[in-house]
Amino acid sequence: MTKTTQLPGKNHKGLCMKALSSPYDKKTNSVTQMMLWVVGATLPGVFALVYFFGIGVIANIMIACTTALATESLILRLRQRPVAPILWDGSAFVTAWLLALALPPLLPWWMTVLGTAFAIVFAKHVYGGLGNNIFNPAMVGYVLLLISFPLEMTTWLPPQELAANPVGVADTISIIFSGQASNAATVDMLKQGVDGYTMATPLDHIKTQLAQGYRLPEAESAPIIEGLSGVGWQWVNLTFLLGGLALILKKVIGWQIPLSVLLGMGIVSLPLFFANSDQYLFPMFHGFAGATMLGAFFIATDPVTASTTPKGRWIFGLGIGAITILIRTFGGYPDAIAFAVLLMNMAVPMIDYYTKTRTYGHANKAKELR
Amino acid sequence: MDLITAVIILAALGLVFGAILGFASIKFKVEGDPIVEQIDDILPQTQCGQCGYPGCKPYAEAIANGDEINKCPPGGEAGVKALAELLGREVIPLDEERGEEKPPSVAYIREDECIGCTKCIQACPVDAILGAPKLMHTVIIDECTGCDLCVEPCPVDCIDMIELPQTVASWKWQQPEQMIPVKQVEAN
Amino acid sequence: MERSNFASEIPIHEIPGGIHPTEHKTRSNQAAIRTLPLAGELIINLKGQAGNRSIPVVEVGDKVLKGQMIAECDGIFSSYQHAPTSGTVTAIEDRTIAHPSGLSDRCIVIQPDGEDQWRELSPQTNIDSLDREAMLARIFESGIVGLGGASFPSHVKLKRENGIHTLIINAAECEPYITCDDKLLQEHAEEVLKGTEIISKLYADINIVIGIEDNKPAAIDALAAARESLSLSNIKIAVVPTKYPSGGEKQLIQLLTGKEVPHGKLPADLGLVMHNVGTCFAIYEAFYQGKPLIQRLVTLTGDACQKPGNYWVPFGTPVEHLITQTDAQSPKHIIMGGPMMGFELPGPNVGIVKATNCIIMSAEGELGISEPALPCIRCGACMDACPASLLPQQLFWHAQADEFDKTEEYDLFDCIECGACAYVCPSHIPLVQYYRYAKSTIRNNKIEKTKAEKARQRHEARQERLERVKREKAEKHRKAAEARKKAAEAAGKKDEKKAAVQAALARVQAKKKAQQADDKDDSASGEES
Repeated sequence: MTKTTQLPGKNHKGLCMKALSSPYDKKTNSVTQMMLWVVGATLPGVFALVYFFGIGVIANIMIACTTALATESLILRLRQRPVAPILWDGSAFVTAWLLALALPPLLPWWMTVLGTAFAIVFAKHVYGGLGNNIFNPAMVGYVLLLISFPLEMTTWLPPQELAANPVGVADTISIIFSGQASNAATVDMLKQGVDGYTMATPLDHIKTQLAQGYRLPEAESAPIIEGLSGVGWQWVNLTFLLGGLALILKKVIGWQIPLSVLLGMGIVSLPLFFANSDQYLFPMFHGFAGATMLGAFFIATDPVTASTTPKGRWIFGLGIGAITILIRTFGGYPDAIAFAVLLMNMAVPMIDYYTKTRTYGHANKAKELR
Repeated sequence: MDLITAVIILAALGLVFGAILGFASIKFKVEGDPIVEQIDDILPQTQCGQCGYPGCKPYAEAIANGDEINKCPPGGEAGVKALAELLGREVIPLDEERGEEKPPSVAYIREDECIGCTKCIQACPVDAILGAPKLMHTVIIDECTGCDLCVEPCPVDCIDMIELPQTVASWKWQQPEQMIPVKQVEAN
Repeated sequence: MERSNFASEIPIHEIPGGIHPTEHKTRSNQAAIRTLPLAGELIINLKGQAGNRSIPVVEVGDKVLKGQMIAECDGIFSSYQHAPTSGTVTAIEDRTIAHPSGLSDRCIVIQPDGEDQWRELSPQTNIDSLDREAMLARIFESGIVGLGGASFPSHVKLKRENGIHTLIINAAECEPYITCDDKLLQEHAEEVLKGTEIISKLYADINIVIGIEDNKPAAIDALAAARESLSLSNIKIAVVPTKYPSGGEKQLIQLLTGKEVPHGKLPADLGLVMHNVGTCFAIYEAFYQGKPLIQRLVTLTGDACQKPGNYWVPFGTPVEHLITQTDAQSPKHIIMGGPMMGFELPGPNVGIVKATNCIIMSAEGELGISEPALPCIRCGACMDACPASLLPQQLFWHAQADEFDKTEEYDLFDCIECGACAYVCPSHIPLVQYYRYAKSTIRNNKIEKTKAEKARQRHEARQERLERVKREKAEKHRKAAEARKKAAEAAGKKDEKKAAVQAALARVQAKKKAQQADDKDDSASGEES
């Protein structure tokens, strides 16, 4: 989308001129500013992730962002679009940043590169670049990795305080880039928790235990389950919630989508919990486990792929919340924010079409539709 | 046995859905304009004959029968695009042999020179020229389509095609993307 | 900016959307209202109002007096024009006019003689003695049009009496920079209220509400004081919160009544009639002083303007004159109207018209004009800002792709072009220009369509006529041939062979004649085939 800046007609000699329309006043805001705010608001969450899961999170972010910027410039050049202004809008950077936050900390580097590049090329530029994509690029990259490398993508490190062998900086770098730990310890050893078996996320743990026939109270007695959801994870979610609230206060995102995502989760999980609390998790656990807060405040609110009508935003958010709980509870994957977001992305054109606003002076829009 | 059951079920399904579709096609039939009318609606009605047909309607009929959609210079690129969209055909550039897209203009008779031969009146496809034998003729500007057909027959060459000037009423805002960057010219 | 704590006298409703741009009003509302020396020539645009161009009734070389009628109206939506000062008509020609296109149109050029001599004035202070028709006639003959921006002839708006129950005086003045209504109320509140009273006398029983934004405390106080001294206690002052575009006609109606003007209807259909404070003042002058509308209050402002303030400016005064008189230092942009809905002037040699409420002479970097546009990210900020509850992002999407029927489906023509959407757009997309592009293209297409339809009908009528002439000729020939045949038969039945030969010959001849006639017709229908 090349757009040149025009000088308004200023030919005092009265020759033909091109008029530029009002308004001539402009709020000082920009896409770049919005993107920077989004990145800034994730920082508390990033600190929590690093605190509990080590420096690998930072490595992921750096790999993903480098890949994104390189891919974006390359594609822009291939599409013969101006590189600098579009790179500067920061959207590729944000895509990579959010994708990296959703990846496990010791993921081999090439998977991160693959996921990010796929997100930029196929989820964004194939559709025509920023503003034209219908799927959330970060989530497309994430889902590609999840279904291609299910094992790597669901293997998280134990939170630092539960780790039998804490992972150092050198080990992290070494594992990400070569698959080998720097000292004699094997990767498997590093991934072990105090109780001896490889650690999964709390959601993963619960799912496995339930599948093995345990009841929920038994599953919840494991050391990783603590407080609102699990060790580390509750803090990760709390900090993302904090950052998200800051974005709402700064009016970078609306409050409707995050609230409706959480509401949607509550609406589906609460009846299930009351029906059988031995099998179904308490809604609060869902809210603070896995990628819930990251998804509700940072992923679902991606303006390009979300619904844009007032009613549509609610439907979009409620749908994401409901689908997430349904897949978490009845599906094969422990977490499902990514799937839920992509499924609702698909529904956006239809949602937008049927939730048109009622224009000033018009009767109800729904009646005008065929 | 299984095979036969499957075939019967599928056949039955086919019949049921076929019946539903058949019913729907009658019940919800879209009464559209016949295609010639729709094509004629898009054509600019200049009646200039540059397409090689004696008027817009005959060309519309020819298009409906498969003729190319790029033979109408007054309709211009926009016209070709609209026709392509209506007929589901490829957008093609205007046929240059038929002439080029010109800005809207009208015929103007230099009245002092007119000898009153009525040839232009007979040539005008929309009866936009007023006059009688041996008396001066004049063009009704509002009715003139700018087709050029009166220029050729005039024995004294007193008809000019004049471009319609842009007025405040006919002026329109430009599509911002198509605006050519303008260099600022300072007033001295 | 200071806010008034005057409590609104009627309940205020909500409007959706809206924005809070920087007001920039203190720059021009500090100084008292002033006048400027007359310009060297006045360029009076005959298309200076809604409707048709006025028709000049003076000729080049004529001497005119101040207030003398110089152009009469053409059609009901047009209006009279009067000489803003005494002098000589030096030209009636096309000059660049105050229009975003920068095109020229017919103007009367007057060279002032410096005397500023009024024609004979006939004030009418005894309003009660006038009937409705006489009052409307005076408003009409004074050339009064709405001074809020649309320049719609006031007498047309006031004509409808049936069902009107509320008169709303619009003093909201929500656009940044502009302070002319504010200043007018501060200094001439009594006159404005007297004008309002005149309007109210056109109706048997009417409620009067003045809608004003709370960022004009001095004007509100002046209004309240004037109401007190004139003991017009039936006038209600409605103070609305400052938010752009609360001064839009439809928006102010929604704020004050909670009702929306239905699509395709007029405020009068809700029993409402709205006038601007400037119009009320003009009506006051037309009655109490007998003066026609020949000048208006114009806000001259902007960072480049060295003597910002509000000035009484005669119509036709070139903007160039205003620039030099206020010592403006090479303004970067000259905007007529406010920054949200005004337009950039094609050049400084353009006459002030009845709708000109403000001239902004901007300094470098004062207005955020030339940011490059980035792709739309569908953030919906525009939708949240739209006072008409449209979906600006969808309108943009379709306008950009020239899908005009889609834009109409999304109610493009309910857009009031307030610019709130473009103001908040983080991608700096010139949204309003896209809407204006789509609207003007659709309008032009419709005109072309009607023209084409007419051409088609004329062409078909002509074809039919040619056909008919041909048929009639053929018929005539056939009849002639038959007559000859009968004659031959009567002449001699005996020589049947001979008769048959003769008849055949006659037929051939008839055919030939018909052929010739056809040839003539063919040549008449031109080189079509």
